[in-house]
Amino acid sequence: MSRALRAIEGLARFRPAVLDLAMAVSLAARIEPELLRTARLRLLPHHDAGVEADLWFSPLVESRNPIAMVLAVDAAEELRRVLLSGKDATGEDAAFSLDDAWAVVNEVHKKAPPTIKLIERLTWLSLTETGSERIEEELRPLVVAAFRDGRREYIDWAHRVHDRLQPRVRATAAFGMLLWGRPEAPATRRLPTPTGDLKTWILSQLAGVSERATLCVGVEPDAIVLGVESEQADYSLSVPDTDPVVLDLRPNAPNAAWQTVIWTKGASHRFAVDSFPAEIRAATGEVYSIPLRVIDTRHSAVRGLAVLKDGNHALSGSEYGTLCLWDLTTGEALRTLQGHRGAVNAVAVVPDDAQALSGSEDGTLRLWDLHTGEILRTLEGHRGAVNAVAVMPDGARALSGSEDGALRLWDLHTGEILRTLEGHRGSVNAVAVIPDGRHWLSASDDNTLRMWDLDSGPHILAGHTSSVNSVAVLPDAEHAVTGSSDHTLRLWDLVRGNTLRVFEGHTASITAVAVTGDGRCALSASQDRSIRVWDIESGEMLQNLAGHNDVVTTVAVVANSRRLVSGSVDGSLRLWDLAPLLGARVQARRAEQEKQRAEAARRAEEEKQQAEATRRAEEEKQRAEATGRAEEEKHRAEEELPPPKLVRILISSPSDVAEERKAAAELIEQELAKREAFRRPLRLHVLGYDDLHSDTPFLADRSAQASLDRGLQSADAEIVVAILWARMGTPVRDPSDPARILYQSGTEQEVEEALNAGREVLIYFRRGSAPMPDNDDDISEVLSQRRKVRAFRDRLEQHGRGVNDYQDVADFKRKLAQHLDQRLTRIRDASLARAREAVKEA
Amino acid sequence: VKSSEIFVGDLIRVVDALGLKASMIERAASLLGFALPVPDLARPEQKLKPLPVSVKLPAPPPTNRPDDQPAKTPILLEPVRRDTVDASPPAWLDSGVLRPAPAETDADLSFDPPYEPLFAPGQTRHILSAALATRLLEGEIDGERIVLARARREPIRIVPRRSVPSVRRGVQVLLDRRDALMPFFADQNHLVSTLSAVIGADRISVLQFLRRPTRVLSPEGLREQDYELPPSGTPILLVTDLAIGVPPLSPHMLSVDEWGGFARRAAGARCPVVAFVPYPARRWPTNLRGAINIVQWDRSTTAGDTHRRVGRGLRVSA
Repeated sequence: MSRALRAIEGLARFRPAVLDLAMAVSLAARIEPELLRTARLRLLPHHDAGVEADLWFSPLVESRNPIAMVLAVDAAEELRRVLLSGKDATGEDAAFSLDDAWAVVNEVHKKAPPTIKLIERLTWLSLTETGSERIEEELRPLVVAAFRDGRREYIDWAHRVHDRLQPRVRATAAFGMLLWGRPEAPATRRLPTPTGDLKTWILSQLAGVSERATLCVGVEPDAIVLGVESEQADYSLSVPDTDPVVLDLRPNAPNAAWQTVIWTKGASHRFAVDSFPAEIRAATGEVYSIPLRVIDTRHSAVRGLAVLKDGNHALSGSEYGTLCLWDLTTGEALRTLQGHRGAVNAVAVVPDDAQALSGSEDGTLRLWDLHTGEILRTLEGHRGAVNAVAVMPDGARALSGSEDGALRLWDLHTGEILRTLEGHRGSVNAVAVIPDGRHWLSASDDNTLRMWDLDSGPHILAGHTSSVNSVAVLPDAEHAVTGSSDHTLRLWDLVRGNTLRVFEGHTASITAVAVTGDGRCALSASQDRSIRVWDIESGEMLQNLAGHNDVVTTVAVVANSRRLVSGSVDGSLRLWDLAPLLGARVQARRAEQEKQRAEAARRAEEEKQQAEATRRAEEEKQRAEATGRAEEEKHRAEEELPPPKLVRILISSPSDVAEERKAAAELIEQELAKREAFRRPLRLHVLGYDDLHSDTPFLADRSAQASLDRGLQSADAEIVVAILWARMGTPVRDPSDPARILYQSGTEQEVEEALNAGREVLIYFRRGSAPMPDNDDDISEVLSQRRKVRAFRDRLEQHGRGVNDYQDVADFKRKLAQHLDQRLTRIRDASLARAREAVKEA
Repeated sequence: VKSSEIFVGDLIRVVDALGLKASMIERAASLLGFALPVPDLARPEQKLKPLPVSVKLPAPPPTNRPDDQPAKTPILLEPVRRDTVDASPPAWLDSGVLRPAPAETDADLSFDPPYEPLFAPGQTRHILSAALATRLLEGEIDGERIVLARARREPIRIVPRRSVPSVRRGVQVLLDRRDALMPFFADQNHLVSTLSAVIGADRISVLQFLRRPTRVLSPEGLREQDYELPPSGTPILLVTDLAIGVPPLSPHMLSVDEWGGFARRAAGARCPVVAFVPYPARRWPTNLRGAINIVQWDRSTTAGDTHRRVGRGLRVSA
């Protein structure tokens, strides 16, 4: 905390009146005693004149003389901030407003010099205006005067008052222009980074500089150093000769923004770079690509290139017939291999990195020992320049393509030609070996790509409209990329033999192609001097690597890294860094994949829901159909069912169990007959002589029992229910001999006949004593009836007939319901079974 | 391949013209000056032993580094493209209206701001009269004293008159020009001019000191000289802070005791001392309150206040 700000804290506690007065005059550029007096009398009338002196000599004041004093910059800014808040230094509501203070300053400084009034107006605007346009308007006339009319005093003024202005004023473009009018000041003051109008103006100034200077640039693994000494520089480039130097830089990243850097001429400036190539743009618009490394091959056009597996060395073939082994980390040439008598068109490295194979315009291939630089073997046989070579994965054989239109397979151990493959109608420009070692690709001037199979002959892949100059196989061995003079690349499906994608963007012939180790990016070099990186999957061009000054003839990927090396007719090899590019691509890919996964998951969820809904609907439909079918079947079954089986249930009982008989009739007619299980297949009919609804006529010439007997025989009923308690009933006599008693009662007769007919007979005996009659005359009859009932039961039991006992009517009804349900079910099932048998038989 | 003068074509022509067998070709080539052996095209190429399968590439010394490998020189990069740079100046650069130029020198920065005096303008004359008037026996004839003298049969040598306050004795103004009074220099100047109007320019003398009251500036202001008291009975007006103000790092600090000594010296010369002090009464030095008539030099001071401080005219002690 500065002294002034500490003073504010102290004064706020012990002399708040001084702070009040300081706030009242804080808008002023300078503070005369008269201003102090007026401010005190107008805004703080209760404060005495001593406050003026106290402020005058307080630590808030930066300088003072008998004419005026000036507040410390930071104190003034803090006081203005508090003033703007409407509070005083103690946090209470201020006794006066910002407008009040401004009015006093305006009044006292009404005749003040313009510079004072301008500073105060700028201060006022910076406090009250939300935008900077009005501040700019205030300053622009000065810029006009300074630069149009040559009034440099305005520039000096800007530098002089710089520290006294509010930060917002200092940040304006117009004020920045004034500062930049004397740009030699950065040693003492950091000039603002140009933006907006300021940048436009500066660029206009720099664009008008006719002289140009050489800027030396050094490259470090993680930075570019601008303005290094020539002896330490990797590159030099031409920029406007200004002081300070203004440049835009951009790292190697997709959509990276330009960053303006400014530094004093003669000094150096370090700019951190994640990867190369970075780009430098001069103020006049020239864009330079700064690669990680450029290897100057001494102005010999590079024809062929191969990167060793160690990733640190590269072998180039030149138009002068030499090969050169390069250290990519230092850029030094380690060894020059001489022997070819013509340009070296193609180079390949044997997998062990110890040998290399080259193909030349002299029509030969040569096998080189990279340790010694000696020629191990010269392979002759082609009748024209060798344009392409490739070494088989086993390292023992090699393939070459020539302008004589043939491919030759070589035994590297013996130098023998193992096979000559002919068929192309033009020069073979490129060959590639598919990782399986059994198939090869050749690209030709005849616009075709051929896939060779030793067993079945070539397969022609046509699609390019001009010479196919290069080919590279993807790691999956099922796809290849070709580059053509028709300016396009094509992605081929080697299995189906068709073109999957065409990559367009180059503006001249494509001279070389390569594929990154992960098989996701294709690299193409072109006569348009560029190298382009393509996303194989989408076909999108990821980056355009520019920098070579002539045709790019070859490009190779550095194994196990994100770098590539290119060679050009301009005689240089360039090392490029693809890391951020691929990283961004991978990120984009992952994001895309994530998006696709999310989309797929969403679709799957939707499909699942839809399937679920469909399934439910189907189930519903099936259920409905099943229900319908069931209903239909039911109806059909009903239709097919035989007519309800008549089940006649005869209730046979004497009169003393009338309640039980009634309960039995209700049970059968009201419950069992309406039960679903029996309603359709059975038709229950209760028979009893006391049935009021019975169709049995009770004739006058006979007893009811007799009428019943004639109307229905118990043997005709399917079930006979006999209920007995204390009365057997009226004896049944022989009609022909009335003295002869056939049965003790009609119940006995019905039970006997039913049993004899094999019907279901349910016999119930009520336990307990029946009430005795009121008169003694009937007692003998009652006892006689009881003896008959007991005798009847004894006879039944003696014959092994089962009988059921019950306690009361409810107990009887429960047991009867249970017993009838069992029997009716059996009857129903038997009836249905018979019906089905009948249907089957039908 | 060629020697200095012989070309391969020459060899071919020789072989063709002489009908040389293959075995003779090498000899013919040698005779023609070819340094390298010519491969025997009729003989199958010699089979070499198999190459080592895997040999680590050692870091080879740059034994056959290209002879023309240069010292490191920066590679001149060419622009890969040219971006369009909006280098046109802002449109307003040609349409601005020039405002008054900011001043360049300190002289250009001077101006006379409106001045507000410390004393209220309507009160100033009364305050000054009240503060600086001394008592003079120049009033009406004091009849009571005449009667009293007659009753005592005392001769009346001087006509007794009642005393009245008057500024007729004038005033000696002593301006404290130390740094501590810097904010009030303009007020001091304004006060002197006002006193001239109220009391009369011929009745005031103005002295000023830079360090201590005993050493005042000479009239021309070029040197210091000893302070001299005014004639007996003439009031002395001190325009000072009585050492209340504390300017930072000022080399001219003044103690209250010095003002006490000054007051005693003036009293010895029967010169009443009045001090105009811009600080409030609570900050006045207590040990000076009896020796010096102190008046708060500020807007809140009235003539009545002044009368209450100094009475109806300063007493000129015997």
